[in-house]
Amino acid sequence: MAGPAPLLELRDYSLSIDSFDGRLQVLDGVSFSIAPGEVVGIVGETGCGKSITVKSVIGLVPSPPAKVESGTVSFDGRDITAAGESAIRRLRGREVAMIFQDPMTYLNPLFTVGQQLSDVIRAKEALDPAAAPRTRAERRAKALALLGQVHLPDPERQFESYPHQLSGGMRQRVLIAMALAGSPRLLIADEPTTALDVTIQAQILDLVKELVETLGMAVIIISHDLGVVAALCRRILVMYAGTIVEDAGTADLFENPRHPYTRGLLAAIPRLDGSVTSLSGIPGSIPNFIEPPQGCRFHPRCAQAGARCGRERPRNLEVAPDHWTACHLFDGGVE
Amino acid sequence: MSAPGEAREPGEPLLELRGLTRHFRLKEGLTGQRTAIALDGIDLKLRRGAAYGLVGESGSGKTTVARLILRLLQPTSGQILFAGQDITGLKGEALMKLRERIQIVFQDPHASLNPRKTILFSVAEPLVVHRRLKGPALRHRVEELLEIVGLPGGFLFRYPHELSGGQKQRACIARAVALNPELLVLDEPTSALDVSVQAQVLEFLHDLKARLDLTYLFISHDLSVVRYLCDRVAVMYMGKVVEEGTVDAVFESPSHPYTESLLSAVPLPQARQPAGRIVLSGDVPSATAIPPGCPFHPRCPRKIGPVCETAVPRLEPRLRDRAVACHLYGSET
Ligand SMILES: Nc1ncnc2c1ncn2[C@@H]1O[C@H](COP(=O)(O)OP(=O)(O)O)[C@@H](O)[C@H]1O
Ligand SMILES: Nc1ncnc2c1ncn2[C@@H]1O[C@H](COP(=O)(O)OP(=O)(O)O)[C@@H](O)[C@H]1O
Ligand code: SF4
Ligand SMILES: [Mg+2]
Ligand SMILES: [Mg+2]
Repeated sequence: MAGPAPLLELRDYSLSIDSFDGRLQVLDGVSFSIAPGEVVGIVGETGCGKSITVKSVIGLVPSPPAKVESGTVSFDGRDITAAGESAIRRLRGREVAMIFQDPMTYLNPLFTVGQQLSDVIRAKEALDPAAAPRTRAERRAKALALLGQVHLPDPERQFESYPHQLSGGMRQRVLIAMALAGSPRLLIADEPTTALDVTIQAQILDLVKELVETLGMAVIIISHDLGVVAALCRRILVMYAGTIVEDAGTADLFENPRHPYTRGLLAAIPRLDGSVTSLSGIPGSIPNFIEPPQGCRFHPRCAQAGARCGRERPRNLEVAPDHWTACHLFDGGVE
Repeated sequence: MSAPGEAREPGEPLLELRGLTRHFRLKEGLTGQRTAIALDGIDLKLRRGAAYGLVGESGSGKTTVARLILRLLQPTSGQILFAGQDITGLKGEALMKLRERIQIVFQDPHASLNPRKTILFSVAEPLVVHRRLKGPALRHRVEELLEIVGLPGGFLFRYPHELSGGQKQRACIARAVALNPELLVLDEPTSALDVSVQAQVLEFLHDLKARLDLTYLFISHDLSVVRYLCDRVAVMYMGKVVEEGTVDAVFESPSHPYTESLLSAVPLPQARQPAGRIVLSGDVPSATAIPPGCPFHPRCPRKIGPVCETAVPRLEPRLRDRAVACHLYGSET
């Protein structure tokens, strides 16, 4: 793929997780890259492996039970596949930050917003030996500046608030402020607006857009909502059962979807303008990961599958400029 | 009170809500008390055979409406009329009989199915309780119901954990239609499902309504789903209906500034987003501190002046196809 040297790159990355029932082949040959400053979305049904992909990259999936079966992950040209805990922690603390669907899980109910944000700021300092430690007042000033940057209303007052005193949208702003404390080069947002009402979601989407423009950081947005990624991202990865099935520019993906799974998702969405009068779902459900389907993992649910699909794993092919898909239909046929 | 839409909807409505209000007393500290106004005097009419959508953000009062209609909750004031009969105070036997005619499907199918009982048991339960069916007749009716919802015979002896989310929701729907109800209240029935599964359930609900002659009150925070399934819609904000009308009218040319912003806030799954999106500032206020005047005035991008802060706008008919509660239209009704 053309363009600048990637910030994050996964190549043929496969991950298994040992569970009570057996070994789950959770990720299978995942390859994609994110350029500096690029905003990319990952979509797919619940359980497709969206969260596991990004969490394992930044060391949030403990190993064991997880095990890298093949492939590499590199960040800014460094191979971090086998990086030790402390190296990953440093990466996570400074260069990569993550926010989640439910901010309450990541905020301590017993401490004020200000205390928690100041703690994060101090932790980031500790990771950067070159930076002179700040005084308490400086940290407070920095925290207030961050709260201002995420447009938390009345930051002086909210600095003294406890998480439960804030609305869902405000908590998500606080979490974003914490993520920004280390000036990350990559922000990963896992379903950041899924728990929010639509008018509040619009505010958070606007904020993310503004931060991308002013700070130039790269962002990965994970969402099950194709509207959310369409509104924010230049490029979208479609994930199915631990594989990337399609990778395309946003306009191209919606106007010219190729993979039957992508087409299936798009045909399932009711439209606000009433332009769709009949919906078709995708029959069946996500396979189990202990014995995932051979060949193309989507083949048991695919209306276009042929004999080859159950036999042979489809290659990832560039079907149009910067538009990749993994489906035999585009690689010599399904029979 | 003049109920909007009256002149345009001939025939007796199946369901009518008149000034329906519900307050909740909340304890604060040891002695303090606050009142949450969950529902504040709403008027609605559902014609028989309608697919009526109720939309609004969380906390706007949608579930409270459902619980009041099902008589799971007593209103603070107001009336509920079902097929012309005031059911607000029904008790005992009469209430039991009413429950055969109005059924509900909830968002979370797990919570509605007993995890230790088979699907046969769960779907049969209302038939046993209300119709005293048993033996082969009961078994036959359950098989018929599962057939209707697209769960073939093999599901009779399965347990909820063996079913996918979509299948569980179908089982809940089978149970809800077991007694041939006239009104089905669906409270966010597809919100927990993936779009791929939601599509199947929506298609199925669409067919089911015609097949069983049902009337739907379909509650959802997802505007696109309501557009797809419903023919009329009421938009709620802080316990009030702010706009009501045909789905096409309300979605294509919203009159109320809240409806307009709500529709404009939805990110669209398409190549380009429309220009001029309205992003509302601020949060939804708490039900214990509803702003005076128009409850939307602190966030309203089109507020016209002090009247919005002091006078409560009433839901008044506007154009031919809707009713709106907003001072913008005060003089042109
Ligand atoms: N910690 C874990 N241990 C075992 N299995 C897991 C773990 N986390 C996720 N999985 C499994 O990995 C698959 C992908 O999950 P996830 O990445 O959370 O999906 P998504 O984010 O797309 O909804 C699921 O089948 C899930 O059950
Ligand atoms: N049992 C209850 N006790 C106290 N407050 C309640 C209760 N039920 C609902 N409320 C309040 O009433 C308002 C409306 O709630 P609800 O009808 O559940 O809204 P929706 O379904 O639109 O999200 C909310 O502010 C909610 O907190
Ligand atoms: S009444 Fe006023 S504040 Fe309320 S929606 Fe209309 S213009 Fe806005
Ligand atoms: Mg996830
Ligand atoms: Mg509700």
